Amino acid sequence: MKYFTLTYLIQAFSEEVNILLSISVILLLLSIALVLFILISRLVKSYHLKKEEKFKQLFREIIYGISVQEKNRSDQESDLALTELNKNIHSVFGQQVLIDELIHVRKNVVGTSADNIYAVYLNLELHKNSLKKLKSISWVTKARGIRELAEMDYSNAILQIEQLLSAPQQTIREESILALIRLSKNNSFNFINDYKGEITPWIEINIHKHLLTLDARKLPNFSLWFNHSNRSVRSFSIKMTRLFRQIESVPDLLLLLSEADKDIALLAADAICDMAGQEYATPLAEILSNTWDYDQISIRLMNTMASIGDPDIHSKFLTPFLSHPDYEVRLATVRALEQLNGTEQHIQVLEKDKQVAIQQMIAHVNNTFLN
Amino acid sequence: MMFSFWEIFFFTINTLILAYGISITLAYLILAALSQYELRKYIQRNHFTDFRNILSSPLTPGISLIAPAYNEGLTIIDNVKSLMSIMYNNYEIIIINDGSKDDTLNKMIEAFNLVIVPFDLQYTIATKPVRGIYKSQNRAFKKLTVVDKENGGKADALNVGLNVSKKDLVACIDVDCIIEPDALLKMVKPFLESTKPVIASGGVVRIANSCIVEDGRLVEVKLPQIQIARFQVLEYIRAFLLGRMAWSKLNGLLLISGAFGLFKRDIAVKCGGYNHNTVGEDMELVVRMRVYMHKHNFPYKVTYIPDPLCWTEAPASYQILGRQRNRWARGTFEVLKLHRYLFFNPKYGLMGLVSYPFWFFFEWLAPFVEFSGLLYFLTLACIGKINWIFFFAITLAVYAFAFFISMFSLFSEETSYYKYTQKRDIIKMIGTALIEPLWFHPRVVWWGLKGNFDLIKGKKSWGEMSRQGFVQYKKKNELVR
Repeated sequence: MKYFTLTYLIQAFSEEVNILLSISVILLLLSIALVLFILISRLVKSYHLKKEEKFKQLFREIIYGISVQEKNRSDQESDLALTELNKNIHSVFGQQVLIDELIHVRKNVVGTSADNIYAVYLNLELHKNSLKKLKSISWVTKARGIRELAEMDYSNAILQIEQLLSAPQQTIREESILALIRLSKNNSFNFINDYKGEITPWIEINIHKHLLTLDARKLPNFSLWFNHSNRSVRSFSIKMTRLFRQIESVPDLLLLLSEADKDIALLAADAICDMAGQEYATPLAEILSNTWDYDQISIRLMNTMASIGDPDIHSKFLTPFLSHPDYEVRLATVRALEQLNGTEQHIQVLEKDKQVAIQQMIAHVNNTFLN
Repeated sequence: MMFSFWEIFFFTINTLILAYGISITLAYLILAALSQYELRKYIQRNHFTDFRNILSSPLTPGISLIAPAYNEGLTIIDNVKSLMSIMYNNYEIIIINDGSKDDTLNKMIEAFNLVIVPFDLQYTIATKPVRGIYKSQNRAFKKLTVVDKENGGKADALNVGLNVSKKDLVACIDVDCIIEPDALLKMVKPFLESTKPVIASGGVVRIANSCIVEDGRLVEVKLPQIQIARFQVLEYIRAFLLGRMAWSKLNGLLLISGAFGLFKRDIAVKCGGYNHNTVGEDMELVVRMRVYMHKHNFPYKVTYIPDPLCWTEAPASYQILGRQRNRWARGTFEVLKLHRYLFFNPKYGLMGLVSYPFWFFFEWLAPFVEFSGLLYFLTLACIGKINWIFFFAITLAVYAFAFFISMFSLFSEETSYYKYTQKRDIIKMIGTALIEPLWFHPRVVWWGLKGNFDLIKGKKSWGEMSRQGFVQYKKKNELVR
């Protein structure tokens, strides 16, 4: 029997074999632990789901009741509802489910209903829970706290959130920017004056989405930041100018066309393309000749000329571009000329093969299915 | 004390094999840990993301979906319809009929009311001639462009797509794959949120065998019924969740699956597009794009999305799977050979010092090491030089490690995307992990070796890849109901 005891086996094998066997045993035990974890996690997941569903159902009923409450409903009824909610939020889990539900409902309601939800958030002191999250070490919890405060429009948190604008974690910075824009009702973009971080396209998309919900007349004049020291702020302000059609900024945008930073100039050209009226046709046509070396800017300006140019006055500014080395620029020129008074009359001076190439472009731009 | 030649020889070989084994083990462990960390972070970060914001925004970049089709007449209409239902605001679909011998083109002309248009195509990247470009007369299919060209292979077809595309980003996909409706929303996000320019982004490819597909959409995820497909499920989870996520974190990703990848069009075109001369064109393009960025000192990133966004039908027979793996092995070697100047080249940073050597030693060389290890073992066994106790101990350790890595990948899947929800699926996957090192892995090694030998013999073809098609699953399921 001694041959089967662990002590005998350990002594019998060399050190290397014992090491390998130990590694095998450890790995197999870890594998078993992972399998057990997988199986247990399924049980835990379904338990949590059930628990969450139970809380949700209970909260939803009360929250909907409160959200549709008229101003004249008695205080006693409100108190009853709050007491009922309060009874179920002793655990962190319960509190989180309630906050999530309040946010979910508040997203879909406005006016008194939204105010009622906000009142519940305050009365149950759930804002303290969200504020506490801002001090957490975990960036996920912090970001969650910022999001909750923003969704519930808790503007008293502005100062605390402002401090997180320079946080090292990108998601926290993103959430802070969005929260500040949302919470600072009258001067949403104050923070941007000194902002040194990067406004990524993702942040721009989210800000734009929020700004769409506001009265466009109350938006700031984005040209204020056209010369900001932070390049991403400049880029953001040009894009917003375009999307909210702040036409009064077109003269400033024209100046940006001669920017050394060609990406900024291109954004300005994009904005001009969307907003410029006929009064800008001549200055733009003159600028066009200076953009020969910048294909993308030429294309944008050509597109603008197509819609605002005067055939008799501006065609002569466009025709040199029929010999541009870049195909896309030539195509944009053909498109613009076709929209003004036709291209054929301008290509007689070109060599035969270039004429053929341009005729192919004409067929392309005039085809209904390709536009 | 003097050592004989053979003693020194055996000692050297043993030490080399041991060093190789330890290195590969450590490499996989580090990658697994890094992947797990990155996966958690990705999921946590996206907890705050509302992808619908991308859907409705005018600030999102345009995307061209380029899908080459060769003899896909059976499923092409379903495939195109599936692509048309993708959720994204600013995208176009470019189907390249790569000289199909069946009725792929005619079926599309009929189904989508296509007419030939005078598209002024520029051959910015040289390709086989294009016979015609078609657009639909029905405005509902405005996003669709069909290009009919002479047969030139997948790389050539993708290059035509790059020439036709007018958008900032191009998504190169396999037309027979099922793309999740929100795939583009998720894939484009790295391009929007990164402070470093992203030049390419890859997505996870999952196995769709036995899944229920309706109207080109995956409606229910199921574990494959056949064992060979389950082996591949395990392999894919391991490769995608435990490998590429880590390479993405390190910004050292060299491969974006040809089934679904998103690229910056201008960079791909400047690099000359896909290479016709390799069957590993997907990996080759990523490497060339990275080299281009390095040479010009442009900051860049290649990212990877762990969400299961693309579902593909895995080969259901060992013969077809063998052809696929043979091609992968040839592709790997071709790419490594083409870019051999990267090998431990510090000029190319992490790509030269880590990614390329990893691919060389642990992806390409691994089948050779394993096979020669086996031959070496047999030789030693014949001359009675085997310490059998040590042999069994080391075999057990290797097996335990393989099983552990598989379990870790299942753990990753379970705690992230949790696609296989049935309890018996987990049991089946554990069973698969237990037999895989003994039954499936040796075949993979053999196919890898054969691929390399075929390459020496001059084999260049893709090898026929017949598939059952998702439609059949749908029909089967309808019959069951």
